[in-house]
Amino acid sequence: MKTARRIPLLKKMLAQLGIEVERVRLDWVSASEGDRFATIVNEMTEQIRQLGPFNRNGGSENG
Amino acid sequence: MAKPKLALYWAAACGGCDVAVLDTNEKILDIANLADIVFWPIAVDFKYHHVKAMEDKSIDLCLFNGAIRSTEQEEIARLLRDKSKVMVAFGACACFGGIPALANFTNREEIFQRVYHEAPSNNNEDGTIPLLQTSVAEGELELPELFDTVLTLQQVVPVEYFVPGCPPPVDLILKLVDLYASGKLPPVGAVVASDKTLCDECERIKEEKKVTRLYRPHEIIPDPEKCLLEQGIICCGPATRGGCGLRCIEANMPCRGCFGPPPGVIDQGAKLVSAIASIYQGDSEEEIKKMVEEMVDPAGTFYRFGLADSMLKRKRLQQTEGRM
Amino acid sequence: MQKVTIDPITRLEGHGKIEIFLNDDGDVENAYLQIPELRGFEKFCEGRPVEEMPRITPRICGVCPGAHHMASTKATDAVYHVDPPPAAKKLRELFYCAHMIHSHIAHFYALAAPDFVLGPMSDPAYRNILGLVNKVGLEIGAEVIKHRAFAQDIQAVIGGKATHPVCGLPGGMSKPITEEEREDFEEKARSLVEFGKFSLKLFDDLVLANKEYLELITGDIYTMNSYYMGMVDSNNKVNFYDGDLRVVDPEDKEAAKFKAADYLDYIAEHTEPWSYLKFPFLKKVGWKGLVDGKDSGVYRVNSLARLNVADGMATPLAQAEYERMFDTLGGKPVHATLAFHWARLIELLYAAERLLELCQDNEITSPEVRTIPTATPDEGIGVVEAPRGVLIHHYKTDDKGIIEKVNLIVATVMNNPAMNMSVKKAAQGLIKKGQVASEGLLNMVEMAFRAYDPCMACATHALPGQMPLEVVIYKSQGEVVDRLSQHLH
Repeated sequence: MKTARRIPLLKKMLAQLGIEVERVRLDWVSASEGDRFATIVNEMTEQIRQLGPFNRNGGSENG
Repeated sequence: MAKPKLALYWAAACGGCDVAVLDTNEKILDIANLADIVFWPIAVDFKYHHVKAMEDKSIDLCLFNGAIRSTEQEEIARLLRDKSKVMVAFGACACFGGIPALANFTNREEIFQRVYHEAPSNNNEDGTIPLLQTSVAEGELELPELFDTVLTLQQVVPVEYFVPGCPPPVDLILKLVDLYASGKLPPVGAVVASDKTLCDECERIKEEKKVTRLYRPHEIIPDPEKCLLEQGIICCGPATRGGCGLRCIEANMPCRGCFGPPPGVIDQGAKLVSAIASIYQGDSEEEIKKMVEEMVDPAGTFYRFGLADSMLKRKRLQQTEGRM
Repeated sequence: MQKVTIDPITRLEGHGKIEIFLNDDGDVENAYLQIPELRGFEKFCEGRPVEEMPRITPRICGVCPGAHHMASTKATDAVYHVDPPPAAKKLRELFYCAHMIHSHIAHFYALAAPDFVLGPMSDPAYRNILGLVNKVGLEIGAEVIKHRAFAQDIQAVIGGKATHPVCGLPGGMSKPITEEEREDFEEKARSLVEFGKFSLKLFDDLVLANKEYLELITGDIYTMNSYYMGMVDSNNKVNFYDGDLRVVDPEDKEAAKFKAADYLDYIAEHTEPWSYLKFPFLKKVGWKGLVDGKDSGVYRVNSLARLNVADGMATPLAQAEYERMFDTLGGKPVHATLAFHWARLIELLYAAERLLELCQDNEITSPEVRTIPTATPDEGIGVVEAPRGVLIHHYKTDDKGIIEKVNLIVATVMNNPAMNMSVKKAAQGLIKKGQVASEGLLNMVEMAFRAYDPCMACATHALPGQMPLEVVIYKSQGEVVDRLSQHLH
C-alpha cells in the first residue's frame, strides 16, 4: 500500500530535518480493535510527552 | 511621457538571474527602450544612495532575485519595496529560497566554525572571525550580520508576482515584460509560468510502469525517450510546476524542482515523498526498506530549491546557546 | 578620519563595498575592499550525493556556472576512480571553451569596456552596456550580443542550459551530440574566431591607441608586483580544462609547479575581521600583510596571471597576440593590472580557436560518452581554470558516495589580497589633497578591482573545510600515483 511506503520514506526525510522519528508512527487498526487502538494512542501520547513540545526554530525568525 | 523605471537587484544570489536577463540578447535593447534602468549593480553604476534618494513608489517595476540571509539584504529588500510599485520575486531563490536555502540544514555558527576555524588551509591561530564592527587604525568598518535561517523574499516583504526557475527561462522573462508593457499583468500573487506540472508537459513516453529499484543518475544510461522516473531515476517532475521548457530533461537528466511546487501544493517535498512512494513496486517490509535505502538524501533532493518555502522551513537543530 | 564609501561596487559579479579613509590633509590614508556575503556551500553540501554536486555547485555563480560544473564533474570522476571515455572528455572541453567565451565576452563588453568606451568619468547613467551599444552603434552591439549568444547556445545544447548546466556525471556526459549539432557548432566557432580577432582590434583602436588609456595601463597607479599562478598543459601552454598549477615570482622565475592534489602544501589563507572573504597566500613565502613584492606571499590568478605563468598559447592566432602583448608592454611578467583586460581578449581568441579544433575532432560526435563507475567512492579533487582563475573542488564521501566534507578554493578569493591593494593604490594615486572624491574618480578606484573580473559570489560561497584525510591520486587508468595524508593541527 502507498502509505506503507510513504511513511518510512517520510521518516527518513524528517530525520534529516531534525525531527525525531518517534513523532511519527504508522500502525494498522481495524474498527473492531477498540482496545488496541486505545493502547496505541496512549503509548504515542506518552512518547510525545517525553519528547516534549515541537520547537521548530524556524519560521520567519531571523537567526 | 516619462519611461517607466525598472530596478533589478540581487540578494543571496549567484548572478544567474541577471545573466538570464542579458540572455534575452537583442531584446535587452527593447527592454532598455521601454524602461529606464535605475538600479542594476551587475551592469549599471547606480549606488544605494541613489535608491535612497528616490521617492517612494517611484520605481515602477522591481525584479528582485536572491534569497534573504543578511541584514543588508533585508534592508535593501525593504528599501526597494518602499520605492517600488510592483515587486517581483525573480528566480527560485527569491521565490522559494533556492540553493542558498540548503543552508537551512545548518546555521551561521556551524558555517563559521567550518570556514574560519576548521579549514586545513587556514593560517588563523588567533581564531579571527569576521565581526559586525571592526576598529582599524583609520576608523570603523562594518559588516552586515548573517542570519541562521535563509528566507524567501515574501517572508520579508509583500510581493506581487513570482517568476520561478533557476534561472528563469528567457521566454518567461519576456512574457513578464510583455504583460507589464501591455498593461495586462495578471492578478496579484500570480506565478508567471505554467499551471501544469512538469510531468504533464514532459513529452517522454509514460507507460504507467512501476519500478523495483531506484537508480542514481550515474548508475545507468537512461533511454532518452522514456520517462526517467519509470526507469528508476528520481525525477521531481510530478510535483514541480511546468513552464521551464524541459531543459534538463532534454539533456537526459532528471528534474530537481527549480520551478517550485505546482498550483495547489503547499509543500513540494511532502508531495514528492508521495509521488516516489506511488511509483515504487514493493509491499514487503524488505522491499520497502530497500526503497528507503536507495532513495538517497530525500530532504536534499525533494527540497533542493524550496527548503525555505517548505512547511518546516529549516532543519530543527538541537538547543544550543548559539543564536537560533 | 573622513570616510568615503562606495556601496555597492558595481559592474562585477557579486557584492562588495569600498571604504576610503582620508586623513586631515585630504590624502588617502587607507582603503578597504569589504565583502559582505557568505553562503556556506561547503557546509550545506554535507549529506548531498556527490553526483549532485555538479548540479548544486554551479549555483555558486551564475556567470561562471560552467566552471564549477566542470571542476565538480572532474572531482566526481576522481571520487569514483572512473575514467570517462575520450569522447566525453573532448565534449566536456568543447563545452568548456564555449563557457570561457561567454564569460569573457560578458565581462569585457558589459562590465569592463564601458569605462574605456564611454570614459571612466562619464555619466553613470550611460556608462554601461546600454550606453556602450549606443556609442559603438547597433551593428557592433548586435555582433557582441550575437556571439555571446553563440557561446550560450552551444552550452545549452550540450548541457541543457548554459546557466546551471546539467550534463556532467561521474564517468562522462549525460548525452552525446549529433552531427547536425556539431556542424552548427563548427559554424559558430568559425564566427567566434573572427569575433575574437575583432575584439582585439577594438581594444587596439579604442584603448591602446588612446594615449591617456595607455598611460593608465602602463602607469604606476594600476601596477602591482606580485606572484602569479595558473594552469598549464604539459608544454607549459595555457590550458583551461586540465593541467598542473604553476607559479612564477615577480621577476618571472618559476617558483613552483605542482599537481592540484597538493594545493594545501602551497596555498594558505589569512582572515581579517572586516571581511567575510579570506586572503589566500603562498605558504612557502608567507603572509606579510597587504604588500606586494617578492617577499610577500600575495599572488594573482585570472587572465594576465595565466599568460604570465605560461610559455605561450597553444593555438596560432592567440600565440601571435600573446607575443604582441608582451612585446608592447616590455616583456614578462606584466604587472600592469589593467592588462588583465587585454589578456582576457587573447584568451577569448584562444578559446575560440580551441573550440573550432574540437568541433573538427573526428571523435566529437561519438555516442560513447559514459563509463558507469564501479569502484567504491571516497575522495577526489577536480581542477580547472575558471574564467576568473584557478578553481579547485575537493570532495570526501562515505562509501555510498554521500558527501562528508567539501573543500573549495575558488579563483576570485585568491585575488582578494591583490584587489584590496589595487583599490588602495588607485585611491591613493587618484584622490589627493583637498580634491573632491567625485563620482568619476571613485569609479576609477573601482576600475582597479574591475580588471580582475572578480566573482564575489564564487569567492564567498565557500572556503575550505576540515579535511583530515588521505588523498589517493590515481592516474587516468586507475593505477595509484601517490598517497598524501592531511594531518590536522
